[in-house]
Amino acid sequence: MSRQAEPLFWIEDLSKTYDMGEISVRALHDVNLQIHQGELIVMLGPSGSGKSTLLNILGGLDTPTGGSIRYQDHNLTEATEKELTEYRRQHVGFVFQFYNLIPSLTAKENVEIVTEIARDPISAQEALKLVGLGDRANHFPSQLSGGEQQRVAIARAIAKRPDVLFCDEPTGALDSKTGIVVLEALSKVNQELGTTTILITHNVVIGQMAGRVVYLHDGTISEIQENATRIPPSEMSW
Amino acid sequence: MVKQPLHDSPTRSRFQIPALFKKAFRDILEQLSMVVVISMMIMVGAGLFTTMISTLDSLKTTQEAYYREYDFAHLFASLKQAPVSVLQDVVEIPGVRQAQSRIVMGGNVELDSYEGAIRGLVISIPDGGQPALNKLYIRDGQLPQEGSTHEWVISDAFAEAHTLEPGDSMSAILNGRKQTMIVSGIGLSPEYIYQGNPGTIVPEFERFGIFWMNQSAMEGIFQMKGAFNQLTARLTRQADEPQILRQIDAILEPYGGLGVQPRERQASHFFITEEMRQLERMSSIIPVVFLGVASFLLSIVLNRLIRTQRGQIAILKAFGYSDREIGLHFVIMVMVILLLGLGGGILFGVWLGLELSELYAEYYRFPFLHYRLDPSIFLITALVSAIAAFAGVLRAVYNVVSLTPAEAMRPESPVLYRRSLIERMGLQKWLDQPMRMVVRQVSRHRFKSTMSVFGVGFAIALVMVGRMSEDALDLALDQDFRKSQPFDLSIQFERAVSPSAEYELARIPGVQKTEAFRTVAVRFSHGHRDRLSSIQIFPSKHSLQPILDVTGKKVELPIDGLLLTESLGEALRLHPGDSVWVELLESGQEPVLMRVDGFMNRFFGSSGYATFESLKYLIPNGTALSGVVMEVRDGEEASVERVLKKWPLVAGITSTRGIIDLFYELTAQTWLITAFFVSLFAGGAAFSVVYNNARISLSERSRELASLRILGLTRGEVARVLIGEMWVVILLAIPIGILLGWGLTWLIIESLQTEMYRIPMNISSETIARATVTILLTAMISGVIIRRRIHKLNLIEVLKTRES
Ligand SMILES: Nc1ncnc2c1ncn2[C@@H]1O[C@H](COP(=O)(O)OP(=O)(O)OP(=O)(O)O)[C@@H](O)[C@H]1O
Ligand SMILES: [Mg+2]
Repeated sequence: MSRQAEPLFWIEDLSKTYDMGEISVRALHDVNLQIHQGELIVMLGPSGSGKSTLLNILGGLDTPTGGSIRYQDHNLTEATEKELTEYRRQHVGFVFQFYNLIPSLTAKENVEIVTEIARDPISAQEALKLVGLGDRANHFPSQLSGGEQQRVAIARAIAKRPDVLFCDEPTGALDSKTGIVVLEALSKVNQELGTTTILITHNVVIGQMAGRVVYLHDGTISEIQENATRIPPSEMSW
Repeated sequence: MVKQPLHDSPTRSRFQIPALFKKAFRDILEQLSMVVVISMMIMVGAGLFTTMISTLDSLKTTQEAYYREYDFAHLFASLKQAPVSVLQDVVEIPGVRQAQSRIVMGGNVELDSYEGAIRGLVISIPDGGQPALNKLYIRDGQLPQEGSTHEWVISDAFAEAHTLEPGDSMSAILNGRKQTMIVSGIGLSPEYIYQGNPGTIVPEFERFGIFWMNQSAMEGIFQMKGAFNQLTARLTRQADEPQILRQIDAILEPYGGLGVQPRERQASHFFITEEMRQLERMSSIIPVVFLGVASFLLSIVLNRLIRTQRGQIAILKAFGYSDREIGLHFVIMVMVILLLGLGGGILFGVWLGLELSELYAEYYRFPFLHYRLDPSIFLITALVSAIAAFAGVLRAVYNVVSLTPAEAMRPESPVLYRRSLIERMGLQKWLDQPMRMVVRQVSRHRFKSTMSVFGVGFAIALVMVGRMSEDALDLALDQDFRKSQPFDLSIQFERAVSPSAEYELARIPGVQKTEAFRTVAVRFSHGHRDRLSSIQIFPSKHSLQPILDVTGKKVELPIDGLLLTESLGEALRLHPGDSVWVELLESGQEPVLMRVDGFMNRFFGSSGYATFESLKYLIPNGTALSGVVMEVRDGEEASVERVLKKWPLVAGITSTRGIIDLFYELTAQTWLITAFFVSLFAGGAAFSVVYNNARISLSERSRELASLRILGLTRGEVARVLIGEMWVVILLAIPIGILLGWGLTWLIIESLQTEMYRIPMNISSETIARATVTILLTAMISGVIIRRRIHKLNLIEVLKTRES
């Protein structure tokens, strides 16, 4: 991967303040970061340090209150809701801590809800196969375990071949064994499809699978650690 | 690095139902009970709308065609007697296109197969041909032969009531002489589409018939050679009607003219016009009530659905679905409900429209029925229903659109619970823990609770509206008949007779008490308004014909003044104490000014009331009687009636009880069916509000409730939290619903008032009881179902996942 190339994300002096009448919460301030094509970044930090806020802004779910953020030639700082929707639709995939599947749709249909609006998707069936759930396509979320649901969520996120994949504590609700299966799936997608992946976790061990680990503290980046070698999830344990 | 396509892209050409649609349909199935109820409401609303509009259309078209093809007259004049030559004077008035003179007389008819008294209205037609105006539609048989004196055409309703056919014979007492008449044909006339027997409120087809016979025959029987006593006329399009009316009045004045009635005041036409006007007004209110409730329920459902699906909506947004796409998928849900309701509604409406039109054709005597179903009705129905449906969901869909994706990602932030008002008042020591949760829940979700309360309230109101006409008629019949006409029989004479007739009638065995009355035709005028009407004249001491004021209290007739029914007073813009010009039409005298002492209450009909004393010298034969009312010993009514039938001068006998019975007989079934359906719909609406409330609470709060179970509360105690919430809603909804019902009833009744009859605003305690019981029963059923669901609550499953 070429570090010299133009970064995918360019973040400068980013800040986010939540205004709630009398009090305002400074969720992010002075955040500077560049993310390159194909990277796998893990974000670590104590609860309330601003990880989710940063991820949401990167993913176009939220807008910053200060600074600037650019994705390729899109300026996300000043994007309208319509442009953000288009950005999410074309470039971004999400995986959340609580799988957030649509309960009234089967696993396959949950994936199709994304492939149907994507430009160049892989088929829902293929996506499910990629996360090892090819045979559970017609099951409803309530018929799947937590880990399986999370893998459906990953299949859903990657099926449209997103350029960037955002995962907010994807293993937070899973035991370590299931968590590793899920991380394997993410790692596979990152390596085989080259999908830039940003992953939030509370688990320091998971940082070992990343190329870079970004530490957040009190709403700002306190440290960026580069890993010389990336350890595959199957070799991790916690 | 270049993206390598790892797998083949799916072929997208094959048609597939988008997953978002599938979600919408499954969400609908999930809400089935509510969806069914809302669809039904739309169905009823749209159906009634279609029904009313198509019935109205059909009636109008039929009436117009009938009038046109059978030359219905524009003017109707009655007089004592005039030579036929006078007709020429009328025809010569500019603007009069055609005029027809005729003899119209009363008569009595006897049938071997029928006990009761039959009153006939005998009308002359030119020998061997159709009259120029008000032509007859001969359904069966033919017109009387030229020169025949013993043949007549009988009205079809009368023929139907007694299954008479051409060739059948009957006895008729005409001008005091009995003769046998043969039915030459069965006919209908545009003049008698509505055939009210004078003095009654429902057509009594068995006891009243119209008979058309040759002019020459009638001239002979009634000794009116070359004379006539009624005149009808048709005007040209540009005619100045009021001017012509005055001119004809002047021409007929010397011949005992009783006033010219324009078509607008002709009984049959007036009645049908009023009926259509009511139908028209009703078509703009009743369906709106149902559609309004549907709209309201729809907004409840959708708002909640969206609230519980915040997470799902956020996901869709996060994956790049636009507001429009997400909004659209909720709109699809509404469309499905709307289309279900509309489809059913239009079918139901067409069916009911046909049925209703036929019912009208039966009640009103039309020779044919042009059932009209303008396709634009469907369009309007669809439009109106769609507006109602989407008005209800606009806010909900707006909520979706305004949800920012990141905000939606978080579960609804924990709501700020406060100690409720009850607790702040220090009443909490009376509440146990589950009850405290109930109170906080209800007062916390104020919008939601208010919506639910109103939802159930509307259901209560619906039951009340469903019983509106029954209550109103109960009161009207009670006031106008039971209270104002406490006599058993009323006898009307052929013409005013000497007061001694009363004493003779009083001697009939079984008669306990008699009281005389007189009716005189008058024209009231005040300012530029005037009305042809009548004055009912009673003895100054009258107990069988009491007079009730507008509040229902008995009042005395003023000795030298006049009381008017409230409707007449309003039509003439009179106030108590004002003076009104009274023209006694029979006397041909100049109008006199009389003081209006006050108004009295009559729901059916309008006229003035006075004593014999006050009018003795103003009217011809001041003490003569038009009829006598009598109290008859129990069980002897029939025998008294038999004797009366033989009296030469008796023109009609009406029984108060008979009228009331007939009325209830005619309406009872309709009411029963209405009540059944309305209760069903109202119950359904209440159930879906109440039950869905609990169901959604259950899913929204399953974690909380499961936690309570884990903490050691019993199922019963947990159920109380939800069911208690339901009961709070129900108990709040009852008074609010009753108020809503009162308001809706008032609104509908106000819009239905006519000059011919007024509809009282009456909500009986039975109605309130029924509405309340319907809702309580619904609540109990919902309670049982909720309890069963709580019993099935799987603790582990609930806690395993986050509710989404
Ligand atoms: N909608 C909001 N309104 C007000 N404050 C908010 C909002 N969302 C987040 N915050 C605040 O912003 C700060 C950062 O929140 P954020 O969710 O980014 O933390 P986090 O690092 O993801 O924490 P965790 O690990 O617990 O998920 C916190 O102090 C939080 O209270
Ligand atoms: Mg977070």
